[in-house]
Amino acid sequence: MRRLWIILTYVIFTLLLIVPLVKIFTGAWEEGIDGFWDALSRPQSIHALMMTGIIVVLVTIINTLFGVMLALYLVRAQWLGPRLKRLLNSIVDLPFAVSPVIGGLMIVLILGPSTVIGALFADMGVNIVYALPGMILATLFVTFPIMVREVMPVLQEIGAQQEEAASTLGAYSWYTFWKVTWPSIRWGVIYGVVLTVARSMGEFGAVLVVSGNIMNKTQTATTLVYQDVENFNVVAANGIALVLAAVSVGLLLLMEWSKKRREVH
Amino acid sequence: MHIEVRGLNKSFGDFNAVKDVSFDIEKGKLIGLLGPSGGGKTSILRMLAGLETPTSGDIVFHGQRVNDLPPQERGIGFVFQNYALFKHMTVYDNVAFGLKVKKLSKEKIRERVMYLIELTGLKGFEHRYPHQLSGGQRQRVAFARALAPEPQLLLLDEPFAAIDAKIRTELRTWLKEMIERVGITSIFVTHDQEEAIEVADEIMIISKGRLEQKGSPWDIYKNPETPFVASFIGESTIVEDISILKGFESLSDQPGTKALIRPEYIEHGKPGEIKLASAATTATVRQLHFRGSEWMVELAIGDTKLITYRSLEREVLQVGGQVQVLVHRAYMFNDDDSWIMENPLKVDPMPIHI
Ligand SMILES: Nc1ncnc2c1ncn2[C@@H]1O[C@H](COP(=O)(O)OP(=O)(O)OP(=O)(O)O)[C@@H](O)[C@H]1O
Ligand SMILES: [Mg+2]
Repeated sequence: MRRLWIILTYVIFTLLLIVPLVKIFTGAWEEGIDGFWDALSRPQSIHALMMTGIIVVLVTIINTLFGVMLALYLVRAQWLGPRLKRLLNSIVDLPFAVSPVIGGLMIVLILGPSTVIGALFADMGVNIVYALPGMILATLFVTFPIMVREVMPVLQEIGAQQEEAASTLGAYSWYTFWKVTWPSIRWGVIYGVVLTVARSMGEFGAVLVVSGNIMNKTQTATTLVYQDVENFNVVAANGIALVLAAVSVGLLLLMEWSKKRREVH
Repeated sequence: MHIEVRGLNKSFGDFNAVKDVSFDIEKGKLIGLLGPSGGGKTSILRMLAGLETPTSGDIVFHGQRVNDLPPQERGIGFVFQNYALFKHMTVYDNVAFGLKVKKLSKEKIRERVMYLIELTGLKGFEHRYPHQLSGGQRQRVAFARALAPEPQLLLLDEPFAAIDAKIRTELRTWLKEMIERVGITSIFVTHDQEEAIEVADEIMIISKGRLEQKGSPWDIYKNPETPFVASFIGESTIVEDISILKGFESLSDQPGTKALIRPEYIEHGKPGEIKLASAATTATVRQLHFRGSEWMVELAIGDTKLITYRSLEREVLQVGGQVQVLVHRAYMFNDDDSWIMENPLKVDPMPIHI
């Protein structure tokens, strides 16, 4: 009976994960290396991959900084009342609860060109919606809880005592953070970074709503795949999907490794 | 460092953890903060260290009010209950931490760290990480780390709590010696009275957020100021109606007055063994418990139970047998007063005049 379940698990696993991956792989190579190469070297492909790259890098940097900071405040700050802390704590989870599409829509509703704030920014020459800033915002919104949720439990677990010990030894917060806190949360942060990269690279719904999916302007890798599929350009779609999948596999390995390190320390 | 604390209060929400605590500590003294769990000992220590802000009251070091100084500026060393060693640093780096913060030169740091490592008997362990040390060794590292920046005041929160009973006695003698050698004012928290009595120059008894009494161990034992202190320090039985005992009959007209009697104030013996027979009451032996080096004897006079000890040298008592009991002194208390009463019959009926 148990063996049956195990076999069944493997079958489902294969069907759901391996088969599509193989399909993507063979699909990308259907017209040989040239077809794959042509699909990737289209100007819109290069542009879309570049957009995705920019978004991933910026979102990961911003998210890591603010995520670690917010986690520190939520766990350690005494000047934040317990009630405010609880409120902030539940707000952090909001993006996980809300569909990314709705998240994107919220940004359009608040910062779109026809809104007061949007118009204000447009006057200053900065377009937010249907432009890169909006896409970054949307991706930030979607990935924000990841870092906070990775770092908070680690901080809670190590407790404040080592930091208090450091303060009685004369160390101020910056020194204490780098010498005492950081080595403990390091692997949690790295794991969070990997998750954030994976998530922001794959984000589709929120970005689609905010970007308007304008080719060579606001198109990311995922929205390009979507468009290629719509246009029955299966080889091109598979080509880009393969690039994304390859990065994902790399990230997965990195994730496993950092998870192991995190458990050791 | 001379320490003065005036009217210290601390509340967490609407719970008062520390209530109006005032005391003075002379330079170089080793003080034991003793009291039941949840009494507020850690809270007091943390306020002294600056890790917690007092709700009201003043903390004065060397005549300077330090309430607004952060922990970094107070010049104190703190040994945490579970040591709080930097777990990703070696023993050497742990001890060196406070010196690196001060940006001392490498050679100076090395010299001081090696001195402390030798002093605390950790030589050969410099390159180990905390998880590779025993509890006692960790405690020494925590001690060395706290001492490294040459603090003026050392605070230790239950330094022996996580160490098994045998090594504990050894370690506390060691700690007392160490502190005497360094000559630093120190306060340590404990809820083990034996530990406090053995190690401390002076004891402060803390209960329910209040400072019940401060004094030398002997002083507190001899002259407890509150019923709590009397019952907390040493062993004792509480007697509801002491007027059944010879010598204390006069108290029958003071209902509500209870007596606290320590085993060592109770003399007992077979009829004829007690010289002052006129001051002795007859009691029944209810139970005998062997306590390794002596017998614990449970006596009954009517409904009243008394506990005392009997040396193994003396003749063994029988359960149910009769003995004579002489109570030398008792600690009396009622709702508004407490006093120590000597047995008035103890005055030798035939004093010998020379
Ligand atoms: N941060 C806090 N928030 C709320 N209550 C607290 C806090 N810290 C301590 N208390 C309360 O204050 C009281 C005193 O605590 P404290 O830790 O000072 O006791 P203690 O005498 O050190 O006890 P123990 O011997 O068990 O360590 C306790 O009732 C505790 O519940
Ligand atoms: Mg405590």
